[in-house]
Amino acid sequence: MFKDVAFGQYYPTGSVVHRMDPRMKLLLTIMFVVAIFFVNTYFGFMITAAVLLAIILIARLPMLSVLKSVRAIVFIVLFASLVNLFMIKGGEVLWSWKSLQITDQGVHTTIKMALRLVLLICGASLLTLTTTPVEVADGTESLIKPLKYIKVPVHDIAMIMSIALRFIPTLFEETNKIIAAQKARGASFDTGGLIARAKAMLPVLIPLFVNSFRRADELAFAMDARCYNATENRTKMKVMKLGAADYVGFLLIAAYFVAIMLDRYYFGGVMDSLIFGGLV
Amino acid sequence: MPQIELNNASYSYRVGEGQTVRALRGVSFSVEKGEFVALTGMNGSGKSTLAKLLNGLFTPSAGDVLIEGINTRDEERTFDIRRKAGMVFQNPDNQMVATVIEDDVAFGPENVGIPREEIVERVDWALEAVGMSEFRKRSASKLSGGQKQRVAIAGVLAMKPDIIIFDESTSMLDPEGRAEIMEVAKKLNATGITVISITHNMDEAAQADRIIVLRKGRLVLDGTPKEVFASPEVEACGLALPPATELARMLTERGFAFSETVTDEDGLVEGICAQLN
Ligand SMILES: Nc1ncnc2c1ncn2[C@@H]1O[C@H](COP(=O)(O)OP(=O)(O)O)[C@@H](O)[C@H]1O
Ligand SMILES: [Mg+2]
Repeated sequence: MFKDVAFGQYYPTGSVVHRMDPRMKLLLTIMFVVAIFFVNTYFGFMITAAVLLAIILIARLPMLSVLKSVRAIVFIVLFASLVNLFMIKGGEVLWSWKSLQITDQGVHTTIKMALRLVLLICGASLLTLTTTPVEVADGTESLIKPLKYIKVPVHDIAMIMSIALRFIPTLFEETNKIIAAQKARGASFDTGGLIARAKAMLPVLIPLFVNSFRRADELAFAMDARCYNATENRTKMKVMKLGAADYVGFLLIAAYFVAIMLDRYYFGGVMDSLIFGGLV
Repeated sequence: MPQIELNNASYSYRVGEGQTVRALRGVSFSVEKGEFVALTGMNGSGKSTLAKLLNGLFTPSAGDVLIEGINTRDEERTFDIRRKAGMVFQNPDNQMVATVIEDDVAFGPENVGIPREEIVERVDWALEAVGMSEFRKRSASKLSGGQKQRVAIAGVLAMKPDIIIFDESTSMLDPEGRAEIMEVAKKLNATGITVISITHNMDEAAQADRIIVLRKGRLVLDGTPKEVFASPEVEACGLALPPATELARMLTERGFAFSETVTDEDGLVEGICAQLN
């Protein structure tokens, strides 16, 4: 009924992208997300798409797996596009009816916004498709480590993240069991209005909560029994190491970043008019 | 010096104002290195409380608990005691910390600051010892109950303990899972690790060197399975004898005579054959 959260969307192909250091992948994803907000020309979007396509090919991911994550935001994109299309005014009026108006600037802004959102999700999904949630958590811990100097409890945050990841499938399984048990007693979860359904969930949530506290109590004993202590003396079995692929990946995304900045601040729309002529 | 020593140990839970539940009342016994001890008794007789006294999760309200001579009251040595005396709990789902199996096994050694290379060696060795090596990179949520418990045992083994306490670790498992865990426990015991196994299952208890029976927080029986099963007090402690022992007892009532107390089917068969000859 659900995929193992431990692997989330993870699509194992064993490619060089999958084997990259999760810290680097996180960093590069952040760089990519920042860069894409600076993109304001069609040429910039072409570069972005080309970079994503290159990564997808190197990671040997099927196109479909990437498009699947886009499906989740289709409605948001459509809705935002409609709003943008009619709200943004400027330039030539292309169409008008009563007080509604579509202008050429509105059309361009809308297309660019939609492209930006779709490419953003594609980029972010490349991280989750090639990295397990556990690796993401480990990578995040390592990246936010410097924050401990300003008294952020980095280790505790990391521990909480990893325990949460660990218990999601357990709680999910338990929820299904309780639902089945309540159904066996005649409860119904899929009839009635929204409020009736919400009420029907109460007899599920209460045992789930009570059990969670019991679990937390037992887990605390189990952790204590294994000498848990949140001190500096802890060691880690897994150490993350940057390899050649990480440096190459960094260079690629850095080059992309520079290209986007040049396109925006140096060339302006020159590349667009060169390629698309009078269209833009 | 015995490896485990309880001197008049008591424990009371505080419940609300001035109210206490006396879970253990003046329990004394000692265990030598390498013994396989079954600890049994009715629900609420204090078994889990006793288990938690053995590795310093609780300190006794009165009396002392010594592990290899170290008093569990000595806070500076708490981690030493917990490294020596590992514990496997009842619910396999509630004692796993990490999602990936090898990460979970590494949790203990990481906590006590073992160097990285050695952790890797220990994890390899511990997973091998419980026969779970091929699963090391997998996520724990997909395993059977018996497999999860074996991972939990590996997590304890990675601390290189001298003692392993099983607190009803087989009670949530199917018969196959139970057999798996008993087998691992016996194998570890054969390598010199002391095993304290808390169980309701008298067939399991019969396989121990020694059975200790608690009743309402007091130690009432302590002896070999033969001695304990022969004792008239067994029933008062709410224990069901193993089926073989029960059958032998019924046969005895009808005139059979067994030369010694029967604890398992082999003993029963031998006893009956001896009569028929
Ligand atoms: N956390 C607790 N708070 C209060 N009383 C407890 C707690 N845990 C156990 N007890 C009580 O202590 C007694 C012994 O419990 P326990 O050691 O869990 O027994 P066993 O493991 O043999 O079933 C029982 O009467 C139980 O109700
Ligand atoms: Mg118990």
